[in-house]
Amino acid sequence: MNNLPPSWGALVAAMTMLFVAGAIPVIVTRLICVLYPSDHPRRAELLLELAHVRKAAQLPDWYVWLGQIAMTAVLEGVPARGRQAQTALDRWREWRRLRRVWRAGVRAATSVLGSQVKDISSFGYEVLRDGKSRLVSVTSVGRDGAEVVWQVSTSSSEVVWDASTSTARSAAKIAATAGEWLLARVRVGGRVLVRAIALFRGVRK
Amino acid sequence: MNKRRTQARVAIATTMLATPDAQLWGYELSKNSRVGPGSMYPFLSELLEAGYLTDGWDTNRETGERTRRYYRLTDHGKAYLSSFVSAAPAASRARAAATSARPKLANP
Repeated sequence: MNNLPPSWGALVAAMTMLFVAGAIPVIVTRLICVLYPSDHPRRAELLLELAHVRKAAQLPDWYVWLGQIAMTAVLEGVPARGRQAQTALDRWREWRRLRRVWRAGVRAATSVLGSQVKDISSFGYEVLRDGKSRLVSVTSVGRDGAEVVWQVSTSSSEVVWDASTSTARSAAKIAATAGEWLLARVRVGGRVLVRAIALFRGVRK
Repeated sequence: MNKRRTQARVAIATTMLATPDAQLWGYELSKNSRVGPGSMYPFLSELLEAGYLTDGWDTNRETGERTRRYYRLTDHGKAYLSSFVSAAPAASRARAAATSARPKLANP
């Protein structure tokens, strides 16, 4: 910098000052906030607090504050991230367990209905037929059981509840009374995790 | 809820009780109680979860954008923090009182 003309030196010093006082705190705060899950309120709170810290405190104090919130984020944000990951893992495990329950039900239905089963496409979509749909919701009971509740609807907008409970072992009975379409939704805590549909050729009662 | 009565927690509680009906902001609360965010925010989170605090966002009237998050003591919170402070060791109370007697930052 000694070789630069005085005006250049001042410019470089001003730019450095701007960077240190302007950009670095914002960049560092944003990086620190990334430690929190995206829906954690502290993430937005710390970013907004930065503006007030810059108004209320001197430059060295900004960096003290940054250090303190970095520690806070490690102590508070990282465990929150861990809990979020654990929840996702638990949901995935539950989904896999319920998928096994559902598949056991489908196998049982297939063994009873045999050739009547035209197609079974397992997970991810839902088909309703006006006037013919039979909805069955399956919720888990115990380790390898399922509670089955079926609906009879005369149209896609009208649903008449005709409820019964069963276990996965007797899902064949449900399938036999289900008509042309059997649609199962596996729920955990009111949230639909798995949707499955089995298509049958004929109605067997 | 963690019921430890550390000096930092007592200082925060004392500062909050000094203006029990006011809106509190994180940075000001931290400065006024002389407690770092590492101790303050977890304590605020616990108070929020327990229902002793409510929170909300200040917004810019013109743009509608959030400007900062505030906290406010509930009636249960005032009662809880009063008992929390009174049950704290005398040394913690004295230190917290001395801290809250120092000049404070003005709320914006």
